[in-house]
Amino acid sequence: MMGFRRYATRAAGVLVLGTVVMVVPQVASAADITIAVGAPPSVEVGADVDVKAVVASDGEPVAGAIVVLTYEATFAGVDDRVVLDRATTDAAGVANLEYVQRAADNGEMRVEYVGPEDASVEPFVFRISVAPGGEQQHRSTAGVKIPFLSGAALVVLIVLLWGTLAYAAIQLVLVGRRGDGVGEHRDEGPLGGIEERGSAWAGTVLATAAVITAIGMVIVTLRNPLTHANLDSPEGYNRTPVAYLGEDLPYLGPGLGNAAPENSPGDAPVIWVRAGCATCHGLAAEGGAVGPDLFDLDSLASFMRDIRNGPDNMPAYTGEVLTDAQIEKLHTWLENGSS
Amino acid sequence: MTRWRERLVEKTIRPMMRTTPAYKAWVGFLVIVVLWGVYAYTRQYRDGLVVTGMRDRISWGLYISAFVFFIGISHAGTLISAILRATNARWRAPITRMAEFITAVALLTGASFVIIDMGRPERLFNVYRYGRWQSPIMWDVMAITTYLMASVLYLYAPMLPDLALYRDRLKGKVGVLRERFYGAAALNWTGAPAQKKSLGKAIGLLMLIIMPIAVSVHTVVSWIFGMTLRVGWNTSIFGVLFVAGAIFSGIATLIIVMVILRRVYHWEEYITELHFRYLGYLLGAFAAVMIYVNIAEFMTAGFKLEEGEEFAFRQLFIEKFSTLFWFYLILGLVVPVLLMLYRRTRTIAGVVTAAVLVDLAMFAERYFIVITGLRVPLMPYEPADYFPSWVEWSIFAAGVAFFSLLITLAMKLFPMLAVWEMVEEKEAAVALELAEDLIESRTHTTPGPAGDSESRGSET
Repeated sequence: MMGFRRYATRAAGVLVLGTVVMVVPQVASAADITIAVGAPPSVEVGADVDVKAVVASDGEPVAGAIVVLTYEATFAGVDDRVVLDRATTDAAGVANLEYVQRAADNGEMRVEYVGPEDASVEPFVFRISVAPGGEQQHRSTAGVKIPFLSGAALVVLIVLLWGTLAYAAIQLVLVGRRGDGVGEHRDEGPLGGIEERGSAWAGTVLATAAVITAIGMVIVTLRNPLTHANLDSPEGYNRTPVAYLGEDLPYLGPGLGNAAPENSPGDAPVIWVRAGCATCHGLAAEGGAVGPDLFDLDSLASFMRDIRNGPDNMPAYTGEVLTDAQIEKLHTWLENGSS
Repeated sequence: MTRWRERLVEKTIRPMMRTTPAYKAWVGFLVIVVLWGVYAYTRQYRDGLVVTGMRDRISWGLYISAFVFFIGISHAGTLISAILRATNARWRAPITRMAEFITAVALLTGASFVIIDMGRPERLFNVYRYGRWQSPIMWDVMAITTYLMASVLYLYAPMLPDLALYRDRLKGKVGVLRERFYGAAALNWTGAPAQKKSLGKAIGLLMLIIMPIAVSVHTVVSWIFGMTLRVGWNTSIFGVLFVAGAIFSGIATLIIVMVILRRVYHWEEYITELHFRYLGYLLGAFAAVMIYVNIAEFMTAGFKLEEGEEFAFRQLFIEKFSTLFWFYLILGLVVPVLLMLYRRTRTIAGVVTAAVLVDLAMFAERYFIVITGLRVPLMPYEPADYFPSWVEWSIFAAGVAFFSLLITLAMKLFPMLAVWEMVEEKEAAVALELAEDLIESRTHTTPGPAGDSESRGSET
């Protein structure tokens, strides 16, 4: 029974291999090496995923070939391929690649041949779609909620403390009030008699200060959710982009890592960042805390004039920093929606 | 008794009436130092924090050390005087007022250092406009505001009867302004029963509430460090270390102020060797607590020696900060304990020596806690370095001078001895003495139960 199952599995493997070899177009390469992959079409987040790669050369399995499994990822504006696993093929030419599904979307996945021969092998490109659900990876739940331990508790504490302080201060006001009938209450204490009286405003001032400060502190605490500085910023302007795994960082500008070569039409974003425009106007000219957005652009002439002179508080740029040609490029880039 | 009281009043009032050239010279000197600090600050305000030694990686320096130190010594007063009052320690009367003054003045000085440390001080009110209680900085603002209010009240309330005394005794002897001031500040105090009741309520409440507030203040100051993910600050004992250190340096400062005022105004009769010895015991006890807390902290962190901790230990124990650190440990913690252990060194001179050592050591501790914590590299790069610039030294000196100046000027305006409390204590002591004499004479004529006079005696 067991022998039959093993036989069936091997037969199925050969069948799959044969099918794949026929489907994948053969690309000319030094050793004529091909890669075929068997992988589940769909997985859940958090699952352990097995990917089998079969390396063959002219239909014969290749043992000892090194392959890597990669997927496409974007982080901090840089697109690149991330290696998920690396394995070596066995005598049957099969390599077992494993990874844990962490991202909510894999993009394009590839199995690539990296050795041992210095051969140019067409990578096997495929997709594994990620089904919703499963276990969320690498995101802690938002803290521990302890009942009654909240801003309200702080308000209660402040009110209690400052209530006591205010009560003590009010006692001092009473001291001032109660000394009015000097004649009746001749002091019998250690300090001798009293003839003169002043006013008692000092106690009142202290008590008022205590009450006002107490109210102020409660207001500061209660205003808490409203005091985030992002609230009165330009619409859509977010100072601290939040990145989640499986999502692209909301990075709108060009990545300096893959800067376009000088003088190509694509280098406007690079000029934009290097000259410092992005610092105030935002990476995609969407506007920032200091500089306005540049969505509605004037003519090139007035654009150039503004850059050379620096309107409002903007610094002026001389020809040494930004050439006319570069400004023209920026203008074109901005007119095309800065993308 | 009356003669004793009159002499006390006379001695307390004397500083108000006579201004010696030495006093004027001292005030002049302090004012010059403060003005120099103001000049240094104008430079900082104009050019920004770049004139200091602080940079991006070590962004807290002498200012924050001074802030922690001064908030620390502010515990002199309030906490010591409240504890002594709550436990009804009789010997406290002559020293509580000074202690409370140190609190209020040190708080003002300490809080100004936070503003001085700000690069954009004009944005101070953003702390209130945009303040969020999730931030330890905001806890600090709230705790210190509460503490300032409480200690001003706690300084003021027990002073009322003495202000009334000044109002009456100094009438016609001082300028109109000061006369008016005492008139207003004394709140019509006549010693009427209703007034005494209100005052007693106020003092009793404040005394109780000020102890947890004071403890919370320096705990929260420590949390400004402890709540950040920094090797060296990342310990649960930080609050305890800071509160103990605060009381410790507070006692030391109180001893130093006491010995100076005693010498200058000839208060030897009231502030006796006994006061120094008792405070010396407290100082020694807190030195022992500090030694314990330090061992507890360094043992738990050093035993595990997590990554980065090794760097923190090396810079503290054997490298850059080792001089400061060992000075703090040996001269600041061990030597005071030893000085208080031996009868021969338990004199006024011995206690004052210990106090000076403790204050220096505690400042050193504040300094190396702030700097070494920031110096541990978070990434594999060379550690940054920090040394205060002349601007920082000048402003720090001005802070110390400002603290001394406020105390010096307060001498001219406020009763620095708690006259009415001292009189009450004296009266109680005299009455007790009389009673004892009476009992003794009675036991001689008619022998009573043997334990009677002993049990009376133990109440003194």
